[in-house]
Amino acid sequence: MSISARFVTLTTAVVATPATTNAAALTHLAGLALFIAQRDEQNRWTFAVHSDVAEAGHCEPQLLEWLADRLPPRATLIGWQIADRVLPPLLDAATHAPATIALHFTGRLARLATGISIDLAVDYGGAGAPSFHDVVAARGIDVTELDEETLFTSWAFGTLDGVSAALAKEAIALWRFWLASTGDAAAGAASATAQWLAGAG
Amino acid sequence: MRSLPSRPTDEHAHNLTVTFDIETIVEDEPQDGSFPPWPRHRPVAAAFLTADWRGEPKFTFDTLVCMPGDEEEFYEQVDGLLPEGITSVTYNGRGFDLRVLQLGAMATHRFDLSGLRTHAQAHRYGRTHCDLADQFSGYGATRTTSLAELCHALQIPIKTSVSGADVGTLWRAGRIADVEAYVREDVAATYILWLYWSAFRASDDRLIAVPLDAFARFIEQMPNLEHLLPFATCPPSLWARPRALFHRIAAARIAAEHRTRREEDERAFSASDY
Repeated sequence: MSISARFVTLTTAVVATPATTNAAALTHLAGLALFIAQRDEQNRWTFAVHSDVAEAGHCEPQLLEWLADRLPPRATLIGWQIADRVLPPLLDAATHAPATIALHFTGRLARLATGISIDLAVDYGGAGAPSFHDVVAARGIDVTELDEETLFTSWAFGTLDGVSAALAKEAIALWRFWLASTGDAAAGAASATAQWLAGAG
Repeated sequence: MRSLPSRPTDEHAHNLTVTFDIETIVEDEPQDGSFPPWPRHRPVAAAFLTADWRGEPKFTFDTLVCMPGDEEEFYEQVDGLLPEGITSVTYNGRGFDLRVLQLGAMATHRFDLSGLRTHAQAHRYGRTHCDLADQFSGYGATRTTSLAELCHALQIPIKTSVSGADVGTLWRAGRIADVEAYVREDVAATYILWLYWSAFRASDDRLIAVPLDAFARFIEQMPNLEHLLPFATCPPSLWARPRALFHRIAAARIAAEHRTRREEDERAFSASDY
């Protein structure tokens, strides 16, 4: 099967730990999710969603390696506030990861970044946009909001199944939100997505 | 043998710049609508966009208003926004803005404004001040054109709310906020034009993509700059955003390569006979 178009949505979950008398405030990459949509020459669509999480004390590099192994070489990247929300925790984690992991991950990410990227938040105020959850929930797209407190507690106590599921939903929601914004041009993709979701549910 | 004088370099620094513009009124507007001689102009508003990239990138957007009687304070504030080491950027500043500011400071008997003095007397071909009107005309090789003409060619928003000819009317009607908004729009447009110039001069699209993406996000996060949102979604900004993403990731990759190489060198050194 020859792929004629490939799209990737990417989302992250980040936990912030406040400053203490002995340590500065830090952010920790707690989870990642990506959704991959591919169309072949016969206009057939295939979909896959992946998510992974890391509890407190488990190193972020594992998440980076996990993501690097799943990032396709070339695709249109779709996200919400990519420059402000998605990219910074990834690059920060890479800065602190072992050099070989950082090199592998940034190489894969750089390959993806040579293609088109679409920040869905640009039309909603960009860096000043409301949360993705608020925007898509109003359009009836299924997404679970991860509030800071729930995320922090889940991360701290290692009860992350809910976080993983929420991230996967968000990655799918990014795709569905983008399809909705393209209107009739994406009718085929929207229909295929709906069939896939029905089969996966 | 005596060395020949060489032209100073005009390779302006990129890491600390202030782009500014002033709006002025004249007491007696010419009936024929012509532009009055520059000494008759009195500044009423000025906007200064400082872009500091020496550490963590930072923008500050200062808007000054000059009410009658506040001239001395106004020129002092202008001077404070032209600190040592900064590169100032204007569109026709050498021909108008700096001339007006310099004359106005003299009129208030302020001869201690070293920042304003440095930029008002900057060498035409030097690094201190970049007059984009001069640069785009090839230092007079062709006739200077308007900022609007260049912005239209590059799809930079310009004169979206009012035009320069409206400033006097707005000012006299007490619509100070509209004058402030207008001067900020002109500065935003001039800044993006500077990024184009800077990147083309250095043959490096990082010099426009990264700062323009950062500028767009800065505008989006500042409630008082809502009127500048068209600059965050104009075609140049939409081009810059994914390009900036690529450059940030590429920089992280280079840093990872350096770290890998350093660790390999350290391992090799440790394993050697030294």
